Amino acid sequence: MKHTVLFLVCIGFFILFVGCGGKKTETDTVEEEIKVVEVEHVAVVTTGRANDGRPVYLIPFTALFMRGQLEGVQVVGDEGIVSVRWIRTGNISDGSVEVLSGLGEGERVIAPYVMGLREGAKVTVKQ
Amino acid sequence: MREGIAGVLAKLFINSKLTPLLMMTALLVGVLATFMTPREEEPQISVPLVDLYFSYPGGSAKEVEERVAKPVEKYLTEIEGVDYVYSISQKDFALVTVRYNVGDDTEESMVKLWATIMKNMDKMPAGVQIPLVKKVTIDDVPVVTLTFWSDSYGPYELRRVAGQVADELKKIENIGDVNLNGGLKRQLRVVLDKNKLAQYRITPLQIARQIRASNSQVTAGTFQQMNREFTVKTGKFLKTAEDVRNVVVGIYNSDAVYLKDVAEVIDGPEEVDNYTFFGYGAASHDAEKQGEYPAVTLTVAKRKGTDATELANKVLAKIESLKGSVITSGINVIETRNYGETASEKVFTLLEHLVGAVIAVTIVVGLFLGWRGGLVVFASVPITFALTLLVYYLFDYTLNRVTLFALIFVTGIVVDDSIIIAENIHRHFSMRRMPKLQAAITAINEVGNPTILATFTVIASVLPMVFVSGLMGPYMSPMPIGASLAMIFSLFVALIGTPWLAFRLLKAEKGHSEEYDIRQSVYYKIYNKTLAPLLTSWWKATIAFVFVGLLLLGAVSMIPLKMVELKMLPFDNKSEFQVIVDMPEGTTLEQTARVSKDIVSYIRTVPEVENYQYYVGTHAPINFNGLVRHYYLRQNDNMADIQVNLVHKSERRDQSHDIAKRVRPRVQEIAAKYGANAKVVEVPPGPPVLSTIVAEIYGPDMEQQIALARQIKAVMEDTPGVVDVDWMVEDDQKVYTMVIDKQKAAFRGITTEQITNTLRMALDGVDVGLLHTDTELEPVTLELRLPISARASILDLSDIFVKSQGMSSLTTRLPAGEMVPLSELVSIEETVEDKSIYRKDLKGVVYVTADVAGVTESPVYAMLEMDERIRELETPGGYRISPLYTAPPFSEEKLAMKWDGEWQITFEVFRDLGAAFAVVLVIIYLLIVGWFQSFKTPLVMMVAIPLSLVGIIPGHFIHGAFFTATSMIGMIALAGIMVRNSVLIIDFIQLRMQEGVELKEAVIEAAAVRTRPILLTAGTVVIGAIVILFDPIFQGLAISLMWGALLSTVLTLGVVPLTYYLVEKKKSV
Repeated sequence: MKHTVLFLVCIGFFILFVGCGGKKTETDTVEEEIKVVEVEHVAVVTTGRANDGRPVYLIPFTALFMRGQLEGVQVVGDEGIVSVRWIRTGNISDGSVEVLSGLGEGERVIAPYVMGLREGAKVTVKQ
Repeated sequence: MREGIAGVLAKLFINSKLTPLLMMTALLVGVLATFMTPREEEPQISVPLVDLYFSYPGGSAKEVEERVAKPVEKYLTEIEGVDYVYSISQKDFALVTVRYNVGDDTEESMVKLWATIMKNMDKMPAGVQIPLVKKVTIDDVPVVTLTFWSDSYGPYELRRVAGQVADELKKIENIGDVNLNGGLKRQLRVVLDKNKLAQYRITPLQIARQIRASNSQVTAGTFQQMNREFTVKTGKFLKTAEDVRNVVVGIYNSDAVYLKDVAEVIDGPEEVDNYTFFGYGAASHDAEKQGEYPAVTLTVAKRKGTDATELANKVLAKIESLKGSVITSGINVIETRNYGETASEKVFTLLEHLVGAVIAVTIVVGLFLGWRGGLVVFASVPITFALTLLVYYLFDYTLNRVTLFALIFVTGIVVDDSIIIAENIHRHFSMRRMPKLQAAITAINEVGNPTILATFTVIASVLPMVFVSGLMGPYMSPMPIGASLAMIFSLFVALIGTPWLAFRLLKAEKGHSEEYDIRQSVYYKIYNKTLAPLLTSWWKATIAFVFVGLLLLGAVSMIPLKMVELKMLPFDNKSEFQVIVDMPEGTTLEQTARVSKDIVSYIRTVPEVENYQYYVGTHAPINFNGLVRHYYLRQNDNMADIQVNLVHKSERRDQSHDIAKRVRPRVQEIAAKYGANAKVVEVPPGPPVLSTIVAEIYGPDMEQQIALARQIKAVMEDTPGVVDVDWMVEDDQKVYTMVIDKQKAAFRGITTEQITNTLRMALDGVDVGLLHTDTELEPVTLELRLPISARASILDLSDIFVKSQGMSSLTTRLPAGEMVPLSELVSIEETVEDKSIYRKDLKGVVYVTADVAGVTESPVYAMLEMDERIRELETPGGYRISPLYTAPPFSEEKLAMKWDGEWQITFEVFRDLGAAFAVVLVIIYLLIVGWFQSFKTPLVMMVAIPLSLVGIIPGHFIHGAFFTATSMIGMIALAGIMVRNSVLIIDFIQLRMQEGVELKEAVIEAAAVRTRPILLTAGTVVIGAIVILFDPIFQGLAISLMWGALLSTVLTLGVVPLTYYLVEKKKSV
């Protein structure tokens, strides 16, 4: 009997040991404070007509920035949070550029764009 | 005294000087083999898939189906060994996928396939080109991926650097395919100016012809002069952008018109055709780097049969050495996949498990037999494993997650033989009836032969698993082979090594001064109190049997009661998952990028995410799952893959499956906002399938099929626990068809070909050759195209011209050279794009796919639940749909539905395992009949087999685990172990009866004598299994072995002697 008891105790210890090991750290979402940036002007995407009469989306040319070969704009979303949107552009005429894809009507872009502005920042417009 | 093989072997080796040498050699060779066997993540599975790409320019989807897909499928199914043929017919193009029987020789299959295609090429309609044949192999899956990202450089520069690095990496030995995903290539773009073309009266076609014509250089020949030979070369390749600019494309007013006059020539990145970004997640150590950066991913595959770890280390070392020279300071390289490391980790985890198990087993044996006994067992296990690993190496197996599983699986049972022998020697030493040597040999003789028989019953129980067919076959086969080999080696070690060690190490315990007597032992007393009354009283025996029967019934009923759910394989705890985004057809690249970005901005906040990459318009580096699901074809503008890498499993509490489950609802909520379909895809632990749940809808015509598919899709979306519902029917996509007025065109001397080529050139661009530079690693193509701003107004065709061919067109007498605007010849119609037509095994099919997570984790239960609702659906014919489970419908006259996906594999595996189990029972029966020369005794022994269920099923319930394929394997192996226990008991009963002991006394004595070794072996099985209890995949096996061994051992010790007694008593009466 003594042996059997020892046997069970041994199994019990073993389970205990197996359960241990490996540090599990709790990773929490770090709530960052949102940076507020003031910008000159925010433009709204408008609908216009191209020379041949087809409807087009237009934004100010100054809103457009290049990242290597990619064309982007800084979009001001809900609650003034900035995000970068990659777009494709068409014709440029008197300060406006036609957006072929990537932006919809009524969206707001920072024009002229602000260099070094990171996504997630909050934007207010200068009065 | 009869002397069996065991006794002979023991006598031969017990005092031989050779024995220790043999043991040392085995150990050494095994250790060497462990280091020499290549390690990798995925098992070496020859995926017998071949993709055939047929292009049929101009054909509509329906036409492609009729002219190409159907005839091809027909002749492909004639090939011997072809299991399934799938096809997708689209506009201009058909993809036919052939699946062979798993395990067929791939080279031979390819030859047969080629021969058949060539034989039938003449029957193909004109215009069908010879197909591109691509074999899909597991070694296409990259083992290492490195993501290059930068804060200051763009995708073009990144790709150039990555390309240079790829070129360097390729020099490493044993490296496979090296590829780049994402980034922009260098291209020489010829951007046409419509106005200038019109002004100089030049057409795009003309330019294409001129560029092609100027870009040539040949060796014209040789001539001899004064005993020497000279070679003449003519022409000159276009080498720089300047060369291209100066190509003369026409004559206007007796002046040459250069290309630079009518077009802009840009040497630089190609037009953006993908967006690939990298970013850090919340769990990253570089969490302050919040942005996302343009990225290019370099993927490295390995050559077949080589070590992933070694390759990965070499690649990383090479990258390190290139930093500073090729990889400059602004460019960061991060490892986003390393299967070498994970493979190594798995191997080391296994070794830890093995060492842990061996030590635990030694302690247990030590408690029963003293530390010397423990040492005997401790020494014999490593030798067994060393030999098994050696055989793996010799058979060209690699160490991967499947072969490792086989080793873990046998940990608990390979020690048994040694334990039984050591225990019996120990018992005989304690009895002190004979001198030591003689006692040892007697002991071995006593248990040696039943041990051999018992080993073969265990082998017999696992070996039939080799015959599991289908995709699961290669996953299963290393297990029976490895386990059988390990068992045989353990037998030899037990018969040769253990006696040698035991003879030298074991001593009779000092405490027992009087002769050891079984009647004095605790076990005997227990049996005398419990078993003896049952033997004498028939009604007590009946109660005992009814009790055991009820236990069994109760355990089995837990399955229909859903207390224990069945599932094929549980999810592994991986460190990655993917999100597959599908936007409606016709969505632009930027729009898809925007949705992906929105999803990613949520994913990065998930606390376990280390980093992510997303690939829009191109595919993420594929894994084994993507390989089978053809994710490498995902290159359209409306598709995006998001690769999410999690922190190492030791640093997080949740398993990857739980994280995926947690992430899914939010991801889909974001996707739904944009009308996109997003799926959270995990790497399945077993063979990949199209999707976990697949409903195949067959029927007389596609419209009805789609209508039914829509209803079934709605049913799926409504069923709780069913997620990621999607179907393979494209949305309506608006297309403009430019209809050519053939009569007008002919009258003007213009061919249809001219018009189509011009339009294609304007919109899609055409390659007109290569720039012949000496320094470039990737080919630089010359592309002719309208600028993107002009393409937007393409429907206005008045400023795109073609030139009349005049009389040479044979249709007109007007002079050649007249410029005709396309608007005169073409009218525009709006239509809907053809939908892809899917076929499987010559039947038209519409797929609806889904996954399960949350409420139900097992597709079978979800399917059963949906069945009821699908049966209620209305069909045009007024009949009911009843979903099929095993085979597609025999006829397509009525609408029908079949379940496929994981179910198909589950069905095949459990069918084959069930059949294997039946064969196992027959083989075990035959083996025992052969040994005991009785038809009845084996049946008594096999009574123990179902008893394991009493432990197994409630065990799963207690742990809240699924009854999986690994559980089933555990159950099958237990059958062997249980029979072995019975053999040991009954063999001893017969031995005692031969010595003249009365039946009842013999039964009690045998039970008492055998209790210790049986408990010991059960204990080692339990302990060996505990080690793997926390592994998500092996959990089922562990539970089966632990609880099954524990309970069935206890029951066996009572039931088998009792049954044997009853059967024998009847015989003697």
